Amino acid sequence: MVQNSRTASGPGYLRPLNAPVPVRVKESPSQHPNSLVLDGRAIEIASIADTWEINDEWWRGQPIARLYYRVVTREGRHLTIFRDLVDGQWYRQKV
Amino acid sequence: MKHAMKYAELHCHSYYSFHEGASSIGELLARAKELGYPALALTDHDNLCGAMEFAQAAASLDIQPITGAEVTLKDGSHLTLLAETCQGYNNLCRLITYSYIAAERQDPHLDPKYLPGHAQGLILLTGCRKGHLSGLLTAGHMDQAAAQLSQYLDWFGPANVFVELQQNLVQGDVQRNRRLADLARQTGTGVVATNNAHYHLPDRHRLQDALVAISHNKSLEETHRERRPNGHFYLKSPEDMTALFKSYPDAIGNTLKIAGRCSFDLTRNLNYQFPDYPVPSGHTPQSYLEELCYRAAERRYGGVDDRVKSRLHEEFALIRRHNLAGFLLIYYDVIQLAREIMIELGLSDAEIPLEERPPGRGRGSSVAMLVGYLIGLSHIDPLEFNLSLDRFLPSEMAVVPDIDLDFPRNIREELILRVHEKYGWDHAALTGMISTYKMKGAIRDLGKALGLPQQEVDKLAKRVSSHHAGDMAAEMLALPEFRDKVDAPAWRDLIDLSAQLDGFPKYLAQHPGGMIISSSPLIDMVPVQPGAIEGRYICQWDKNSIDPAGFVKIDFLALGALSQMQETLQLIEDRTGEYHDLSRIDHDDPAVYAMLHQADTVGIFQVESAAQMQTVTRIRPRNLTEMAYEVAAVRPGVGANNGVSQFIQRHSKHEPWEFDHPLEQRALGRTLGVILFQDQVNQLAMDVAGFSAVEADRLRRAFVWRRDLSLLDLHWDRFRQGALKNGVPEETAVKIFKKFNGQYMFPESHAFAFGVTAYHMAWLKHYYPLEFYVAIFNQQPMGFYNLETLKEDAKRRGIRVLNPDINASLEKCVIKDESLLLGFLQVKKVGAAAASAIVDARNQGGTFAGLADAMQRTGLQREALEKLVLAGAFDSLTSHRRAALWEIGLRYRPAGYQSAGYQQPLSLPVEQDMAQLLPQNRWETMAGEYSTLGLYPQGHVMAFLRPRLPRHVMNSQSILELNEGAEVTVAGLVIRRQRPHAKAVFITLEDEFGHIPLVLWPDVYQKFRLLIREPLLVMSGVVSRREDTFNIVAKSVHHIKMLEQNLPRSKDWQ
Repeated sequence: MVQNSRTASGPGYLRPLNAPVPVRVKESPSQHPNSLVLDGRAIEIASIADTWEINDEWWRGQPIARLYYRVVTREGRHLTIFRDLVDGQWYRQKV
Repeated sequence: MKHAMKYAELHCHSYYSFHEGASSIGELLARAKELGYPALALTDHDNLCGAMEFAQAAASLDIQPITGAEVTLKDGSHLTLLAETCQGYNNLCRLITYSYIAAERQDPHLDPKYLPGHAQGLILLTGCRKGHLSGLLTAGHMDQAAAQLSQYLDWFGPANVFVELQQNLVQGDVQRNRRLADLARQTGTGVVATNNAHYHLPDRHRLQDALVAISHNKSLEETHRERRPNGHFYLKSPEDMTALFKSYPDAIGNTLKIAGRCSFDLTRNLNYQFPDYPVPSGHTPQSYLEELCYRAAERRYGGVDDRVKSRLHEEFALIRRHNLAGFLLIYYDVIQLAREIMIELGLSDAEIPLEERPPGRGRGSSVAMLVGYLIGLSHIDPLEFNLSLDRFLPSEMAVVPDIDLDFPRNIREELILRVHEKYGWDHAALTGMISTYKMKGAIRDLGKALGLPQQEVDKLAKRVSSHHAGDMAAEMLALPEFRDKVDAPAWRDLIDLSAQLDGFPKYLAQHPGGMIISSSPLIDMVPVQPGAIEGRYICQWDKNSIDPAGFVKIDFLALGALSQMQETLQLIEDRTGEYHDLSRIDHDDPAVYAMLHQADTVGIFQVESAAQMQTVTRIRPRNLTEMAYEVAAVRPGVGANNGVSQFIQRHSKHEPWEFDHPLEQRALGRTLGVILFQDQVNQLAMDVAGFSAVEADRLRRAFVWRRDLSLLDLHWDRFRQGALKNGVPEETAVKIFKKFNGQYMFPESHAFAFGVTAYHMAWLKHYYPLEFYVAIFNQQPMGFYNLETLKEDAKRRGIRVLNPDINASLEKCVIKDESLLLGFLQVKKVGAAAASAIVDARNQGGTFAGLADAMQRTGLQREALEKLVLAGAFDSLTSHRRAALWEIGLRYRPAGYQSAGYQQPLSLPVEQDMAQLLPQNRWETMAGEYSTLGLYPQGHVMAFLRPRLPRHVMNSQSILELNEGAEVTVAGLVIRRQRPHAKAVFITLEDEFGHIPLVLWPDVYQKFRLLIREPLLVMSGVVSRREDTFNIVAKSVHHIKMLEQNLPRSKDWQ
């Protein structure tokens, strides 16, 4: 059984899980991701397995518009990253 | 924009994919044209509701229309089907029909067992993400997928099946397309790219999201799973599509190959044949029709003279040329069915020839046809009125003649059933009608989707007065409690989306009267689905689609005015023994026209509204042709271009005028350069811009079809060029084109038929007012006014209205001692059963001796008894109404009392328990009668109130003396609120002397919009006598506060 940690609960204490983390990405001339920096290390992207776009919650103050890439690195790792189409920044989405 | 690449979209939904598609057909086509598509397929979900509109509009833009549908199978999966040939189209119609007939009405599901037998002429695309094939491959069931594909190939043939690839940037698209393409390659099947378009421009995805939420009856927040993940379901450019499918170039190329094969064109290849009518042996339909007409002419004219003969010959030749004999005989058949019903109802007799007492009245082209008159589908003798044939039935006909039949209500109800019975649902179906979004619906549905507070949404929906959802911002600004919300986040979306949603179809409903009849199965030509009422079937096309299809559509509408007319004639016959054949009365009677010129038109069909009263006094019709002008003038399409006052200036004031161009002469000459009739629009396009009859009709339809403004620019281009060729300068062409609009106008023949009916009603009102009022009382609800107003109108003609009398009244109103005696059915809470119980008891045991006797013999419920007392029905048997109510309280025992073993109590004396009660005063009497009868026969509420009003309040008679600009205050009961065009609101007040017409301009209306909903108003303003009208232009409004809640209700905003 989980012990009660006795820490206060409420909106201010909630932390989202799997929040996207900003990531530095180098893009090809056609604006696809070429490489990214992970843990201070530049990693080359070998292939793109899937691309998809999300465009949602336009009725809220902060609409969501993201272009996702499921990429495979040279080392064979599968990563999901996206470009936020609102602020133009790249993020990594831990799945 | 020139497009180097080529692509045709083969999977596209319009807003006829109800609550899915988010663009109109016009928007999709106009965008397809911009993108340089050579062809576009319309594949709405499980219906062809938009197919004809699409084909017609595409033809006018030189885009090849491909007719198709996305059908839902039993397992919920989707398949895309495209009609390659006419046979394919027939099969598509049948498949869709079967998907409804076998399933729940709202939930079509096609059993795949029907596919193999109906595959001929269809091209199958394997479907979207929800396709069965996609589902199997996504789930990794490769073998089952292969088996499914091979089944499709078996059923449809290898050349007619294409594996459908879609790339909308949805997670999984890449992998699914790879697997689909692999499977296609392994089996040698073609692939094809589609974009599953649900709207024309990317931004519409917001509306699409909202529609999906609405269809699930949830909010946007609650529908993350149901909604599409992004906005990539729009019509994409050939370049974008080519780039998306660069790994599958064949998939793009095949869109054009498939388009090239789909030669079926609904505008040309429907192959509909007029139904045959089984004629006696030795006859052709033509010869049989001719014989029927000759026989009727003998009876009608006592012989066939040269005039009749030459007219008949002219018509027979035209009928032969257009092969219309079978068509007319079908009408004749329906009329015969109606006549049988009439005879069964005792309204006619087998001895009376059909043409002498036609069961309905035709409207439309038939009014100009002697043939129509002789076979009973018109009430107008065209020879008598010199109606030339070519004005109503031009020899270059674009569509089949349009003949509508109006029937009294009781006949029409029965007729629908008989026609279904006689022809069967696969050969005769009701016309569809598309229910569309207007302001209130848009607010409620979008408000819920956007998660706005329900109470606020309801409040807004109740407060708005415009019907156009595009006016939402203006409406909100006018309401203090909503003014601040116009720029608030979700409310902003509500405003934007409502403007887009305005006019969107919601669902397919049943047209109030139209039926189409076919001798070959109808379900080969248009899908048919069960209607909401058991036993009725609806076709998926509405009137606008059926017209160009050339179907024999028989509109039998219930027209209250005809019920009223039928009853009036019957009452006259009962009293005088004479049945008036209205087609033989004097149609130039100055006395009747004089009555119309006085706007003495309450209760008269087509001329009784406030707006109509104001035109009839100015157009001053003197014959039936001018009656048609009068009837046509008060239509939105005429008012839109200020046509009414223009016509009156020229017609009544003889103001000089000129054509904008001499080429307008033929179309507009007879109506003094003003467009009054819908047919004139077509003629104008033909004469000015060289359109063919068919093209002109298409142009007119482009204006009529919902939200097709996006198409009009393209039509304008054609018009401008055509006009230029005819020597019409561009400036003038602009002027003439501006005369067109999509608002409703009557065709000339309708206006004529209605004008005649209006005249007949006026004639009856003038010569037989008593019968006229009795009939209109009995036929309620109908017309523009409530009973109180009708009673006041009758009173001004010296007709007394009598309270119901327990010992004299019948169920319905009747004539008694030259007065109108109200019937029991006029009393609230007295239904048909109670009313007959009273009459039956009286017939059996004679008149009632007293209240106790009546209670005992009728067994009426307490509530009905009390209402009858308040309505005055027991006045002849009791000392006064309050005492009668007391006595009922003493005597009444609820039902079952007796059977429970108690002694029958009614005969016991109650005198010892009667209290000394004061009789009702007159105000109480009035209140009681308003609440039970809806009218107060002895007087008017304003007569009571007048002594309490300030002295400067004038009445409806004294104001007539006032000059233009005079300041005036009036008071009265609101009998009507109306908004004939967008700008002004009209209110009619009634006082004890007559009516008071008031106009509220927008600023005043906005200020007092809530107050004017009160029943009793005091209004101040200024007299306007502009253009010979009389109105009070209101400046301020007050209401008279009363405790009385039961004042007669006005009939508003019709």
